[in-house]
Amino acid sequence: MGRAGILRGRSGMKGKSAAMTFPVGGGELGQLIRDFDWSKTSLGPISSWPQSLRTATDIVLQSPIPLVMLWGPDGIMIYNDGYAVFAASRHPSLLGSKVLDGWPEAADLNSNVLQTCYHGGGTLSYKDLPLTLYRNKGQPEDLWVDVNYGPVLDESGKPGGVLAVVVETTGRFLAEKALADERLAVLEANKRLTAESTFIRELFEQTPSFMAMARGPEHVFVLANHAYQELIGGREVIGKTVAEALPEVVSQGFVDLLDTAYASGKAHIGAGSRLLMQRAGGPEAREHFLDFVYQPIRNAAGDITGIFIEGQDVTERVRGEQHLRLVVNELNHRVKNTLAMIQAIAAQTFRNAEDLPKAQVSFSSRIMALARANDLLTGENWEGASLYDIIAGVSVVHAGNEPDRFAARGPMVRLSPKVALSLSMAMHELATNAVKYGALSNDSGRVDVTWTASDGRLRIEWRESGGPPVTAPERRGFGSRLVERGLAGEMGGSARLSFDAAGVVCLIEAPLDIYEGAE
Amino acid sequence: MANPLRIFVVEDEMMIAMLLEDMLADLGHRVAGVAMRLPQALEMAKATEADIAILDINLDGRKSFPVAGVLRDKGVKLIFASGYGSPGLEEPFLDEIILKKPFEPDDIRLALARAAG
Repeated sequence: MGRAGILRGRSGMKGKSAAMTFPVGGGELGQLIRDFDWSKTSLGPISSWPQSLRTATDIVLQSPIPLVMLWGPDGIMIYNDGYAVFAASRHPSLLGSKVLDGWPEAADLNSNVLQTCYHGGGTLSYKDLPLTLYRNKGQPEDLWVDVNYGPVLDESGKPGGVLAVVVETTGRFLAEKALADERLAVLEANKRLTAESTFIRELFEQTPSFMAMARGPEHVFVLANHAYQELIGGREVIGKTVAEALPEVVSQGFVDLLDTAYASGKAHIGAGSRLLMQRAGGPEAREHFLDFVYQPIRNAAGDITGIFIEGQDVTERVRGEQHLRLVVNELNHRVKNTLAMIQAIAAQTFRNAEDLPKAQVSFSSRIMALARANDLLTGENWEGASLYDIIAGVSVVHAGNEPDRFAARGPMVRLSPKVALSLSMAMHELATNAVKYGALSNDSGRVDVTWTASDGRLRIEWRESGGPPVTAPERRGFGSRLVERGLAGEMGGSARLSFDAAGVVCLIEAPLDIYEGAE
Repeated sequence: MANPLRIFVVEDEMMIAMLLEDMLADLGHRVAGVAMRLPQALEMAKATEADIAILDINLDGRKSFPVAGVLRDKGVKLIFASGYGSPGLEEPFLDEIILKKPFEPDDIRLALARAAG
């Protein structure tokens, strides 16, 4: 209130004539307000408007910034040219309409405004308030406004209306938002790139393959991961040439391979390559077998700038293969040896055989004895067998039902695989004879096998008793020969078989040292 | 065989030694001795009178060349039996006759004929 122009206008115009020329000026809206039929609104004809409304209308119209006034409990809208621009195609129908009808899409906001400012006498302030208005030919439009509402008092000193200063901030808001979004996007991108590079670095560092990057024709290390560090024994290599950092690989031809790959641009692929690698702080080089690639790396211009080194330490696999080859060779050797023994057993079983079916039974049982001795040695990983186990094996086969008729007693003695096999075969012959003709051929006889190991001599005694009276055979058979000649030779001692009337006795005596393996 | 030969056998496998003995006897020759272990073979090589020796190269992991040396010095002709997976001949025996295992009587007959000249 109290603007000179308005006071002058009012003081200059009295009664009806003053009403006729109100409001003065006010641009397009001034004219529209003058022409508007306000009698159809709750404000009544303009001539009846109270002074407070007139003054407020003048203030609205004279303001260079967009203002709108909501008068009365219905919020009848009176606004200026600035606001008309804001209202766009909704202007001029907004003029004189109830605010809730004028802006149905903002009815919630305006109800609150009327409630707070008109009825409550308070103020409302919004900054960058988002709105969706249909101000442009019915098309929805998102916009942002700074808007401040305050009550306008009437003559009674109570709010007669609400004055709103409306500044559209959509342009600034969107620009700021775009800037903020952009900054956020940059931050996000940075974070993602950092995470990605961390991830790739961790991957590079932790991958089980060894990886390194050597730059330039001198192959200067610029990167080396954990597995590569392991391979080279933890030596510091970054910034050094391969030849400086790992001198021992030069004479092994690896730098030549790098040179060739760098010069030719062709990758070098090594499979199971042998490498002697020095350990940090250790004098002795360790043998490694590697599957690896020297991959030349080109820049955008296509020039080779370095070599990427990648591969796996396959030492264990190669050792495994070597071991397997050894095992296969050993197995092959044993199989052929076994076949040779079978050839020998066959030749000697069927030589001079008078009764073919009997010879076949003997042959079969000798092969079974050989098989059992093989099983025993396989169970001991072919490292040898104990004398007790050999005798016990024979006992189970030939006196299995009456174990108390076959006793084995003696100290622990280990025999080499070769001696164990021969002794098994000899014991088989003795036991077979006992079952056929000797102490195990009746119900009461028994076999006692005892041995002693002292003064560097092993003495084994096979003694049968309680069997039918023994008569010496007319002709010495394979069994006798095997024991007396074969076994004695094998053990480097003597073996004596005597056909005493009370029972067969076999005494074997040999130096003890040979049974422990090395002579 | 018109001419019985005296043959010394060095073979560490008991069964194969016995097989050789039988085969040699069947061929009409006389076995002058059988040794199965290196120390025993060395001793017997010095004492035994033989025309030809059949030696297994590998005697339970040891090579029989020292025995071969003693025998050759005595003028005994040599036949080496090569075992399975065992090492080959070495100097100065590279040109000696090899009898490959497993062998049949005919293989022995031919090897003996070559050795006897």
